[in-house]
Amino acid sequence: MRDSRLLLVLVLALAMMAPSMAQAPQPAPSAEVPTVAAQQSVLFLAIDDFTRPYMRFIFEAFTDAVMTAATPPAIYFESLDASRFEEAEHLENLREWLRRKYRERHIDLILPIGEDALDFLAAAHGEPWPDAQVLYFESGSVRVDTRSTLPRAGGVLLEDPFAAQMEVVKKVLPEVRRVALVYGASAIELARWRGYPGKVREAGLEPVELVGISMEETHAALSRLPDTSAALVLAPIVDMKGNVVSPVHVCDSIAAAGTVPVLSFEVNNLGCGAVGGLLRDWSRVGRILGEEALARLASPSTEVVTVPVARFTTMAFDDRQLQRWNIPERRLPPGAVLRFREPNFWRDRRGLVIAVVSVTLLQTFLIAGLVFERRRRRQAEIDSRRNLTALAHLDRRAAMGELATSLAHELNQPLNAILQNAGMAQMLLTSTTVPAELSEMPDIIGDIRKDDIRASEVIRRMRGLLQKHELEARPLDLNEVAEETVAIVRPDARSRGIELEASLADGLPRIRGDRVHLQQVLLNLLMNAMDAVSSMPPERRHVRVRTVQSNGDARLDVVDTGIGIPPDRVRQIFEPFYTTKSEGSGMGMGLAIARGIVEAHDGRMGAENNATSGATVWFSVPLASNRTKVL
Amino acid sequence: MLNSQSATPPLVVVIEDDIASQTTLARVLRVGGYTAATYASAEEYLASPPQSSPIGLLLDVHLSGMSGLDLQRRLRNEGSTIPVILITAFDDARSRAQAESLGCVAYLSKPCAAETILALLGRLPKSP
Repeated sequence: MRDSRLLLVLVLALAMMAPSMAQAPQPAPSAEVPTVAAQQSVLFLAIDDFTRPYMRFIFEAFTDAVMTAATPPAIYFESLDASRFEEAEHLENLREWLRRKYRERHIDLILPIGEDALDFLAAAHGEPWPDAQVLYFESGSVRVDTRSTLPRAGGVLLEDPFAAQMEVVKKVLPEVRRVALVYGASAIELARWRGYPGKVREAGLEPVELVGISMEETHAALSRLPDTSAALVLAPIVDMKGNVVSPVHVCDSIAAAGTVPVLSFEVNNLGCGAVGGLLRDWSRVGRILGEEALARLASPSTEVVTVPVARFTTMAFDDRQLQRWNIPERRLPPGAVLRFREPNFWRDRRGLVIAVVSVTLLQTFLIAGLVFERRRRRQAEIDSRRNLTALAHLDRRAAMGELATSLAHELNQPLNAILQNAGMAQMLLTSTTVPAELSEMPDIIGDIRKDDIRASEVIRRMRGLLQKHELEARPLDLNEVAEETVAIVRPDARSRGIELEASLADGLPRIRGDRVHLQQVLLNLLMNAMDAVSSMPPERRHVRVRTVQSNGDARLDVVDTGIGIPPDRVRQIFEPFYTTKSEGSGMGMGLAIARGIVEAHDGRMGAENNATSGATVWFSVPLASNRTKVL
Repeated sequence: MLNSQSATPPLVVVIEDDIASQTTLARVLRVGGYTAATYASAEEYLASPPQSSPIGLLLDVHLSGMSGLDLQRRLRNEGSTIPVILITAFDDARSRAQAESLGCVAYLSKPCAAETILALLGRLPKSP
């Protein structure tokens, strides 16, 4: 069942394909091919193998430059690998092999990279590409005469950078006197670097050749060099034993040994441990060659173009090596590029760091200053409060001294009544003749108790004022303060024939304050007022205490009918040592102390002359409900 | 000692502005067998109709308004011969000297015992 279905599908598919199969043998359309320029070809003929870093950089930059053309040429690459294959027949075998390889290819331009590549072409008149243009590049001078052998050869001549490179070395490492030249032992290398000891000498330094020796020997030789030496790694390829070495590896290993600074003039070696300097940039060389190749493909030329040092070099240094050899940045030539620079917040953001640290320090100092100032101020406040308390106490004692006469009087009245009542009681109890009078006993004893209480009240009021007392804030009725104080001075007022009146506001809200100290303030005002009126005729001996509520404050006025305050002195009366009284009557501290007390209550104090006669001295204290600060 | 035998108790004038002292003094006099006429100030005494011959005047020195000493001087200047006993709650030498120079019978300091006052009064002539 299943097989038969598969067969059916197959048959159907063949049936559908049949019509197209019938049309298949159609002739190809004989369209005319447009005449386009045939693609040109460039051969990159390198002396070394393609794995050498400098080769890669040249080739990549060359390719990039060439590919920018409208019709880029085809690029072929051949390596003679001559450093590693030095056998005489190798090159001729290669030439024969290349002849066969390129039999069907046309090469328009050959770029021999390295002097031996040019030699290879010149030796056989350009074979196997005798018709191709040759674009060579050389450093310093052309060592191969191509005029007879390669008539179509032209070149790019890179100015010899060595003298300039050595100048940079001398500037950056001024203590260096010797330069050890490290390079391989292959014939090509020996030929390539033959002139370099002389060049080092020309630069005023002493050359030391470490040629072709093994890595171990190189290390040993370098470690024997004095401190004032540097090792210049000249791209060694093959050592004395025939081992192929990598210049980067050599550079790495010498730098790791760390006896002397390592120099390398190849930009691609930067990072291997070399300090840096004026470095040949093979990418730039490749780009120059690419541009020149394109120009010569378009318009053949045998010109030899000289490229100045600046066009194919880069001034670059390895920051890690600068740190390692303590080379300050100021020694570097202007425009030098620092590579492998490790992020350093202090170095990179010094301004920011200094700003932040400065601001932080400034802020810290400011805060410390403010804290210190606050503590000092607090201490000053405590001291001032303590002084005020002490002064206030002295002032109260002085005031009570002045009131002593009237206080004694005030105390003696009830004592007198008690004594006489007690005498009466005794008489009545011992008398046998007048028992009828015994009915007075309850009255007598009641009066004794009343007068006893009266005496103790006087003592209580006095004691409060005489004790030393710290300022403390409690809810307080200013009217009560006024009543108590008026009671204290009333006997004095009476004895001086002064009418003392209190008119206290009904329902005055409470304040927060210290009873004794506010009593003292009022005592002061009252005694001043009584002094002011005591020399007046009897009808003008009038002192009135008045309390009022005004704008969230409780205010107390003491109004007298004296001669008033001289207008130019109204402001001075609260100053310490200001007094209008005769000598011996007081120090003039009373009002100053009173003002200190009122200010400690966040209150105010003032004085003014009345319209009719005398003066009003007043103080006001915030109501408890209106208070922001506690004493 | 108590003057209860007398048919009509002799009159003593008390001028004292301290109500408690005034009440007590009146009680002392009453128990001592005297009639007390009390006044709270010198002015009140002077303004009141003259009493029928008191045997003595008990006078507080510190009165509101006219003082006891002023009243003593004024009465003496007017020719009064009523014996004056001054009582003060605050004893000072100047007042005492002044009172004595004006011829007071006694100058007493409060507190002073009831017996002292009654003894002084007992020595006064029973009728003016």
